[in-house]
Order: sequence, then C-alpha cells, then structure tokens
Amino acid sequence: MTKLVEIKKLSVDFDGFKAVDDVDLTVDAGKVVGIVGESGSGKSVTQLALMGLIPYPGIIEAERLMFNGNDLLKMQDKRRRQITGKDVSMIFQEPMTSLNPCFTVEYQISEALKIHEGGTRQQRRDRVIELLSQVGIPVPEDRLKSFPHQLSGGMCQRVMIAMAIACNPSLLVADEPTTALDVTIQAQILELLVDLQKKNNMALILITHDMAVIAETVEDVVVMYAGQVVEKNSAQNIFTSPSHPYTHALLNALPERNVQARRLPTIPGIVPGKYNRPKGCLFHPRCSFVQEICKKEIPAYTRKDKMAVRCHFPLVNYPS
Amino acid sequence: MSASNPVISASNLKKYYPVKQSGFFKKDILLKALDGASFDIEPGKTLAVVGESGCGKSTLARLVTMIEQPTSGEFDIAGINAVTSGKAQKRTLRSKVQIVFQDPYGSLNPRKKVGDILEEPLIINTSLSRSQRREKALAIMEKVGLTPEQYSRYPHMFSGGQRQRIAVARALMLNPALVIADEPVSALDVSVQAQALNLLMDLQEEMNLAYLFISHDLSVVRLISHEVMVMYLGRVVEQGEKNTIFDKPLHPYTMALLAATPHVNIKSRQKRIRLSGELPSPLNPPPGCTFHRRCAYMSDICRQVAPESRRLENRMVACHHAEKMSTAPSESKIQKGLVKNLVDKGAQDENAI
Repeated sequence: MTKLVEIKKLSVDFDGFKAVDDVDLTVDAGKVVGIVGESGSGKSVTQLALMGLIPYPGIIEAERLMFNGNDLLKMQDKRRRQITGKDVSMIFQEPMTSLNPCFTVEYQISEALKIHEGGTRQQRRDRVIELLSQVGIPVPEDRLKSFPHQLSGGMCQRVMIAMAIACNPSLLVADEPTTALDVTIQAQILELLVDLQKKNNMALILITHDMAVIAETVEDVVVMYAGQVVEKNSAQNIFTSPSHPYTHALLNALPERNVQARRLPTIPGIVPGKYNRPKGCLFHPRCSFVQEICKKEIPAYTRKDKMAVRCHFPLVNYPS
Repeated sequence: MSASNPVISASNLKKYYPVKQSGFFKKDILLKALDGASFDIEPGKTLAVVGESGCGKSTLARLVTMIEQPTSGEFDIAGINAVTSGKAQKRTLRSKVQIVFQDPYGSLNPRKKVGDILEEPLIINTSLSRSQRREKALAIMEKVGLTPEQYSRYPHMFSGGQRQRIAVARALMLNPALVIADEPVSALDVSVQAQALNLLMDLQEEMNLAYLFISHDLSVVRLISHEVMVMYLGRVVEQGEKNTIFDKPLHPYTMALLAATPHVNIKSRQKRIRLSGELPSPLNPPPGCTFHRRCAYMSDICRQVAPESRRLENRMVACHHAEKMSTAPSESKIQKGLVKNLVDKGAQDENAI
C-alpha cells in the first residue's frame, strides 16, 4: 500500500500557542480516514498545514511532511501551488460562504480547470457539466449560469464537491462537510462523497465532530484532543473498545448511548486553551483514571499493530 | 392528551406571511410558514419539535413567545387566551414564556456584564430593589452552575457551554412556566452538550418547567423529550409519545428522518431510506401531500388531496397510507418501494427545489 500522506511530528505554532502539537498521521492511497475531535482540537489546522494554507503568524514545524513522495517542507511555493487544488483539494464547512457570491457556478468550477488543466473554453464547459452531473445536480446545463444564492445549502455543497474533484485529486479533505446541512441532506452528501471516493479511487480525509457520522462512513479513525492525536484505530474497534480515556468518555457522553438513562455521563471541565494548558498529559485534569505520572510526564504516542494511543494507562477491553 | 392543566395548549395555530412578487400588478402570495399545529404541554414535560430547516419550527417558537401574532388559531398559556387578551395581560403572559436561543455567542450582549444581563428582565417586569435583584441573580446563577464571582464578568470571558448556562439563567429569571429551547445544544461540542442537557433536565425536575424543545438532532430529542412533533413544510406530519414515534414511526417522512440519522452503535443502525431531492420551496408547495415528491409510497391520491391529521395507534399522523405502514413496515418493502420510485421520478423531483 502506498503512503499518500505522511506527517510526522507536525506542530503549528500561532504566536506561542500550539494549535497542533506533535501530530503523526498517515493516509494510504484510496483510503477513508476520519478525524474526530471537539472544537479547538486542531483537526482543521492539521489539514490546513497539509494544504499550505496556514495564515501569517502560524509557523509550521515537522520532521516529515510528505505528499505522494514529495517533501512539502522543502518544496518551492510555485511547485506547491501546482499540487494544491489539483492533487489535494479541500471542501469547507459552510458551503454558502465558501462560494464566491459574485460569480456563477460555471466560472468558479472552471477556474480550477483553467489553472491546472488548461484546455479550450468548450472543453472546460463540457467538463463542468460532467462534474455537475457526477455530483448529482439535475439538469446541469441549466445550473451553469446560477449564482450561489440561487442554490440551496445542499446544492452549494455539491458544487463545492464538484469544484474539489475537478482535477481528479488523489486526496480530498472534507472539513465538516455536512455540519451546516439537515440530516436527510447530510445522508445524501456523505453517500455522494463515499461513492466518488470509490469511483475515482481517491483518498478521503473526513473531519468532523460528529462521532456517528464517522462511525458510519470511515475505515480508520483518528481522535484529536487539544492539538494532539490521542488515539488512532479502525472504526470497528474504536467504538467497541476505545483505548484512550478521552475517547471512552466522549462516546459515553453521546445521547444515543443513554436513551434509557435520565442523566448523561459528562466530562468535567473544558478543553484547555492558550493560557491553561496543563503539564503532562493534556487530558489529565478531566480524566477519571488520572495518576501521579499523568500530571508530570507527557505520554508518548505508542503504536501497537494497527492502532496507536497517547496515554500512560491505555484502557484494555474496557467496555464502553 | 390528558388535560391536567397544561401550561400551554394550542389549537390549529397558523402563520402566513405575505410575500411580494416582482411586478407591479402581481398580487402578494402567501407563504404558509406554519399551517395548523395543535398541542398541549403539561408542567414538567417536554414537547420536542423536529424537522429540517424551513419546516416552521422557529415560526412556532415566535408565535408561542408572542413575538408575532398567529394568522389564525388560538393558544392558552396557563389557562388565559394569549391571542385575544389585552395588552396588559399579554405583558404578564410574556414573562411566563421564555426562550433560550441556539447560538450562545450571538444571543448575549457583549457590552453587558452577566449580572446586568440577568437583571434586565427584573428591571422591566418587577419592582425589586437593586440588592434584591442582585440576590435573585446570584441565586439563579448558582442553580445553573455559575459561581458568584462570574457575576461581574463579560460574556466574552466564557466558553460556549458556560454562555449557554447564562442564557438559560436569563430565561429563568422571571420564574417562567414554559421555556422554549430553540436548538439549545446544536452549537456545542459533545462533552459540553451532555452537560447542558443534564442541566436542562435537572432544572425541569427542580422547577417543574415545561419545555418546547426545538431540535434537528434526533438522538438528543430521544433523550430529553416526552412527546415528539415531526414537522414538514409547515405541517405537522406526526405527533405522539416519544416511544410510540421512535419505535414505530408511521409517516414515511418520520421513517426517513430516523433512518437518515447516523448512529454510533452498530446494532441501532438502520438501512438508509434515501430521500431524493430537497425540501420544496414553501412559496410554491406541491399540491396534495407536501411530501409526495420525495415519498416512496406515493400514489395518485397523494398528488391531489392533502392528508388530514388523524388518530392512529396512539398518535396523530397525516398520511394517506399510514395504515399500510402500520401493518407491515418491513425493511424489504421500504427498499422495494424506494427503488421503483427512484427510477420513476428521480430527476424530475429535484427540479422542484
């Protein structure tokens, strides 16, 4: 299996605040990986770093940041821009605000084609029509001249997806693609993403905060907390026997698992921010299994077979 | 529904908005934002309103909080008619109904301290002295899990979960009988969401509050509600006890909604019932049953006649074919009906957006 993305010890520093801290992530070609975490856990920033979209004060440090055999750290900006948008592309959370309201759907989709693929105007138009029908927009010819405000949220997200897959990327990063959408539309969009992933044989990184979406869609799950990867495992294992206390607590807090209960088990406290980052394990102030060592030493990210966990005392076969 | 003095009882509430058409001589058309909702909520109970965006959930909240007048229909709050009563009486009624909004970042005034935010309703509605107001605010703050030193802090110093606590505290300042929670947890993270839900449930038990809980998250609704009302395009399609609805939905839309909700537990996963297309425009709703273009069970009658809401198996349901669902709601049947239907009318439906 070829490694498409290989990230090792990636840190992103915003003015002294580590939004991403020591993150390892590998994605194999043609795989679906889910990244789950609460807001502020660094899941989006990791992907922005991969895309080279970190804004000004951010400093990226990494031991290794490889995409498809190319070292992104040493690469020149010009070469990198050829990869971004062509081989790696991204879908953002808010489809209505990610599209430019001043331009038509056709213009916005063909912009990527024009830059990366070239071709004549007619060829590009044909390709746009093909893309729009691929993402399930009925009568695409009539939609070419539509502006984003004329489309519904679900339709806008389809246009975003069409734009992202325009140049047949080998990796698609979907950052909360369904958060702003209704459940029935969410189901449609997720189905579409997985279909396209299979058909085009591209890798898909799905970022979300919704455990249930992850459980139904992806093969491998990466759980992030306060800028660190705390656990990585297959979707099957992680939901039946989580190893990290955070994953365990997060799953227990889901209303779905407590239908008969009168109260939900909660995780006390909040995600640490810039000024209250604890020493040692970042989760220790909220952890119910905390020991002395957790308060002093940062646990190492240890691998075992296909899973990996960052905890001094990983849970073994702990029923969730 | 039994009648042990409900906090609110509404019958056939409707709200139509006139929408201007382009063109000088064109008449306004009516947007039926809410087309007939009837319900009772008893003290200590929660009625959850479920549906996609644009189905009239928030319009319902605006009517019940008396922000807007209903076009027709009546509702009583604590036995007093809230539509026809006079100005002074409405004023007192308004203090009985309070609302918690979705976005805790947008619903608190950033220029006011927490204490001022909490005391504002007291200044307007009561004649308490400054120290009495402060005492009351501190008491409520303790109830929702805020500390006294947070009294003189500004909203930006709080996290999302804490802000939602402030919003809940503000709603409780006037001892309301009914709290309307408009998607109160959808902006919060999972771990914080659990805390907020526990708080709401604790307060309900302690103060015997009635909730009108608006949400699109069915797993949250399943946890917190006693009764459920499913809405589609301004109409109530199914309404009844929580377990009745969740265990055996009879309206195709409720079924699809339940099946579309992703699950973490593998055994509670259902086969997806794929709804083609999106919510039609409420300005130009389809004739007959408003759901028929997306429905797998659609027949001729659905295109022509709008189904009346009727009682069937302990619930109200508005569907011509509800009996069929009740006799054999097997999955294979759903799938079969779906496939046929998708072939028939796949593309043409989506044009109706």
